[in-house]
Amino acid sequence: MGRTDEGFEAVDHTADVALHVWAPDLERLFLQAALGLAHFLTDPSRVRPLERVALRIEGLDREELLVAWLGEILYRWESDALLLTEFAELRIEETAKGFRLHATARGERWDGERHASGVGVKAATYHGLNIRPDTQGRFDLTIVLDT
Amino acid sequence: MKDRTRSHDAQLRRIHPHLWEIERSGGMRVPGRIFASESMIDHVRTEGGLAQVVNVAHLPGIVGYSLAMPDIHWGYGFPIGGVAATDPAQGGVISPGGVGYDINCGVRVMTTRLDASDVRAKIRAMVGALFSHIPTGVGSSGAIQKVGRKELEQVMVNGARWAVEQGYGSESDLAHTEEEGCLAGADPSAVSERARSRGGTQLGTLGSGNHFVEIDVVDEIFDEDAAGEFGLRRGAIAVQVHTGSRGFGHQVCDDYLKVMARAVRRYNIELPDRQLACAPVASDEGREYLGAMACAANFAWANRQTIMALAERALLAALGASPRDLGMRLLYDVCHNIAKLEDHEVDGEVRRLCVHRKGATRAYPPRNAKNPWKIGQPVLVPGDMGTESYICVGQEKSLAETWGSTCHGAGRRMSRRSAMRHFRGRDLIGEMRERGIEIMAKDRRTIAEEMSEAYKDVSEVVEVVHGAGLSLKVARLRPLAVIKG
Repeated sequence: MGRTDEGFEAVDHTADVALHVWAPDLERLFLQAALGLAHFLTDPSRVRPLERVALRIEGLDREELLVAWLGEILYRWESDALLLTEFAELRIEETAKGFRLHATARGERWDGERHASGVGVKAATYHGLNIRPDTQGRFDLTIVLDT
Repeated sequence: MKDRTRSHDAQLRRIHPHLWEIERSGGMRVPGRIFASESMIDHVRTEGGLAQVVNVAHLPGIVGYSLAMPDIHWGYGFPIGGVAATDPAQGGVISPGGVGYDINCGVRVMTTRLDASDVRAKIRAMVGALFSHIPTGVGSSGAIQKVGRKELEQVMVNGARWAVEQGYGSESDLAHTEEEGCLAGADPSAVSERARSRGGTQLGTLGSGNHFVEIDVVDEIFDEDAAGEFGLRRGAIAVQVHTGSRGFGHQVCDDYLKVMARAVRRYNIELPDRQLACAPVASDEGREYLGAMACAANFAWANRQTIMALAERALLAALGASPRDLGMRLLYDVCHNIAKLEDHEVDGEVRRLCVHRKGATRAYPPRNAKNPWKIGQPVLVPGDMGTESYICVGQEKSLAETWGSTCHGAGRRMSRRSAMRHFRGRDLIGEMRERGIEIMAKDRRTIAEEMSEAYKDVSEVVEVVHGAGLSLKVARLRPLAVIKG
């Protein structure tokens, strides 16, 4: 592939912005998606990990889990002005009802003096979203974000 | 879930100079119909919007056609510019994707007694005052007090009336607002804690992206009688507000996409795109979404009503004028993203349909008591930043052809990122000033993203619906100053 094993990049999309993410497994895919979203919202290098939150997300399938995961980060930002930019202990398990994700996120409340304002992302969408591993178990997909 | 544009090219047939039809095929329940000129249709073909018209035609209970206005462009599930009516009595569905994330994103236009020639020297003071009175941009919170829990329920149920009762604008504004600024059937119990939490701090804020408050001059009148009826005078200053339900509406949409994903399984609905997830209007899920969507629509009306009043205060302060001298009056307020239960004639009988308008405007002719004009309702079509906007009037023909709907705006031509690249290094504020337009924005990036070159030509869009007889041109507004997020 000629690039790192896992990562994210912003890509063009007609009406909005999109996030291309790739990773060797599902958990790292979700981690890269969250880091990518954080880059849309602000410059993460200027956010200090002062607050810590435990997150628990559920979804019927992988797609719904990913939309809900990114939705959770957007919700914390919009309702509490909390910029989450670091993610750890991310685990995904299959349940009787679908999938469940646990993670610890760290970040800081918005400070207009220090933090860069980014793109006003409002939601992650299901458009063309299909989370399936390739034959080597790797994931490579694009998430369209509503702005 | 790939777009299926290519396979549908062959079946596109021209009905008249402004109308194209996609024949039924595969799982389509009705044909598709697109209002567009010859030069527009090629662009529509390549853009994915066409495939979305086809996808919408799969919705259970859809009546007539899957329709698209000439400002059609790619959306989520439904195209932007999409109109679809379903019949609840025939298993018709409601789809949050047919409304969009920004529920009741819409526009209002206010007329004033000011002449552009009298305030030319004061434009910079006026735009500065708007910018300081109206909170804009990502993460902005209100100039008004954060609304408490009980109060937010009042907003959800009463819409624009709530704002009037708080002293924002006056009672007479309500008659000049679609649905009198309050969609019936609002059910706060169907709204999540998350939506309340996202919305609570955002009432009275403009937001970012394509939302704006603009000072315009009425620079051309196309129909003197209709302009007189609407109180539009050549050379007069008008003010436009374009915003919606902010994070509140986004959360309602997000929440119900999840509910609908389950409903699709429960009712065995087969769809070509997950973003079209829906439930029968007559099901629990359908009723709950309608109730929650009405709450978000009412939030948006309260928001625009509040921002209008903040804009009036700002202009009074900047001009040192009395309210009488300014003479700001609400011409009309329309929604661009909504689903409503409306009575329409189908095969000679009146049926109550669920009409989805996603990036489309209601365009009723003079037919009901709630319309305060002798002519059709005003149709407000904002241009993008730096170009003209149009005021049109609804026509009888829209009822026959589009469930009383017409276009809503321009539509993007360039992605946000390519707009950023395209305009890099240019002094955009200076360029706009050369063109006679003052801009203030919280984030300079928004200016690049929203430059008019990034959008299609709104005049061409308006000409198509005028030619098709859905709505007729009344007047054109030219921007003098704009504030953005």
